[in-house]
Amino acid sequence: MKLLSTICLLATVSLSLSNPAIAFDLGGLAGDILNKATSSTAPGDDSSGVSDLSRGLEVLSILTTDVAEDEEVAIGREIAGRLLGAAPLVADAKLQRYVNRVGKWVALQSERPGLEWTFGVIDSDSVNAFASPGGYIFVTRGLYALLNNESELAGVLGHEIGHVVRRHHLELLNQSKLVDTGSKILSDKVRNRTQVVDNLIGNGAEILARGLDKDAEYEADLIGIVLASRAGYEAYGLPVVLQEIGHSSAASNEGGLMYKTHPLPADRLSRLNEFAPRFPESGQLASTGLYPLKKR
Amino acid sequence: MNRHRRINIALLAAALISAPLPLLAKEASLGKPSRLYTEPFKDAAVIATLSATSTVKVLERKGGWSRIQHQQSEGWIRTLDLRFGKSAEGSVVADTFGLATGRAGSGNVVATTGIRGLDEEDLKSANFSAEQISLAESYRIDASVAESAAARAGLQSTTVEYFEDITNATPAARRHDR
Repeated sequence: MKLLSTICLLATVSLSLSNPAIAFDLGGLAGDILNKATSSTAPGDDSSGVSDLSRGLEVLSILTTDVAEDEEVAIGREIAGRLLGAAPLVADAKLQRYVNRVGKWVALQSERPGLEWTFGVIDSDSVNAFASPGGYIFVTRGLYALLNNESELAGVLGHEIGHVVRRHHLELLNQSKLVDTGSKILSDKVRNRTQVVDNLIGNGAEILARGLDKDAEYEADLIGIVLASRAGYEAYGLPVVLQEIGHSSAASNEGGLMYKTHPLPADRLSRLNEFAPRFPESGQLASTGLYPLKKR
Repeated sequence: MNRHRRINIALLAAALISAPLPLLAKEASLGKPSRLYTEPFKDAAVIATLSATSTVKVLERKGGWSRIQHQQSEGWIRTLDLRFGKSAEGSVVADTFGLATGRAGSGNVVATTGIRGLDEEDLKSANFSAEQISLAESYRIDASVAESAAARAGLQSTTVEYFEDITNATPAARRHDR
């Protein structure tokens, strides 16, 4: 069934490729894809059947990785809003603005500086952090309380920014359904919105409990270290948090979901250890204090 | 009197949370043989090479380096050489990280009085909060504001390349390579 719909999609796109008039009538996303596909075709390519096929495959590969940003943000906002329905923001505007200042600065070092990045601390004692497509990133109060300085916060946020930049969560979703649902939300005409969104991401925010593959997590760790370093922080913020999490009894009691969705801190650290000789040593603010959490 | 004490406790708590913590001496083991240096630099003199089974006390952390005590010696070793966690027998063991209890059973967090957890069930049953997501978005910061805040804090952006050999080596990354 899934294969069938993929083939139909491919056929539709191929048809539109061979007929520019039809392509004009397609929505922004398809137009965008079309532009990318045609512009990435090397000049001088003949239009043989083989090249049509390879172009078609290329379009397909673009479809599976590049969802237009509007749709991505729309879906990400749904997921983030559901997460906040489960655990609201800590009621401290100064804390939230502080985390946004640090997070935005780190995100500006990434390949997606133009996203409207949103950061927050949510009111849960669990030790965890979440990234939702489109640039919505939240750390729990429980994780924030374990941090010793701003470099560690930058490292944690950098890891989550890495998931967004590499679109890890989007890859968990059915791509054509994603585009469809995203445009429905954006059109604002959808009546049974919850149901439409459920159809794509499952109940509530369960997608955040599903977990990514281990490689995506290791990749996000390295990206987090690089982004924090680019922002001028010391490289060891994130590794030290992983050591802290591994050591803390609070984390082992309250990090249940995190352990289910991530490789063990020890495994992540041994992975990072392989790259430690290449970590920049020049970072600043090794011990800049964090904005303190208020007592509940 | 009572009130003073409460304030003192609050101050202490705030200090504990906000201060860059001088670490309370934590026990750690070493996953592999590790050099003990006189200073936190790789060019510093080597005091000794500690065996993989050594147990050390961590006194201070400075980025990639940690000051530790091992028997009568004190010095610096690489932070990432440290392994935390105890086995059931009470000896420090590499790679357990004290997770034996955390991962037991279904992995669900055991409800503890006063603790607000966030587990799979909470996420599954979550309802979209329009009010909360709008509130979160109201705290967004413009790039220019973030840049000037970073400048005031003395943070300078520097060029650091991705470790491409790994970030491209993973399937997740490869799919984005075009």
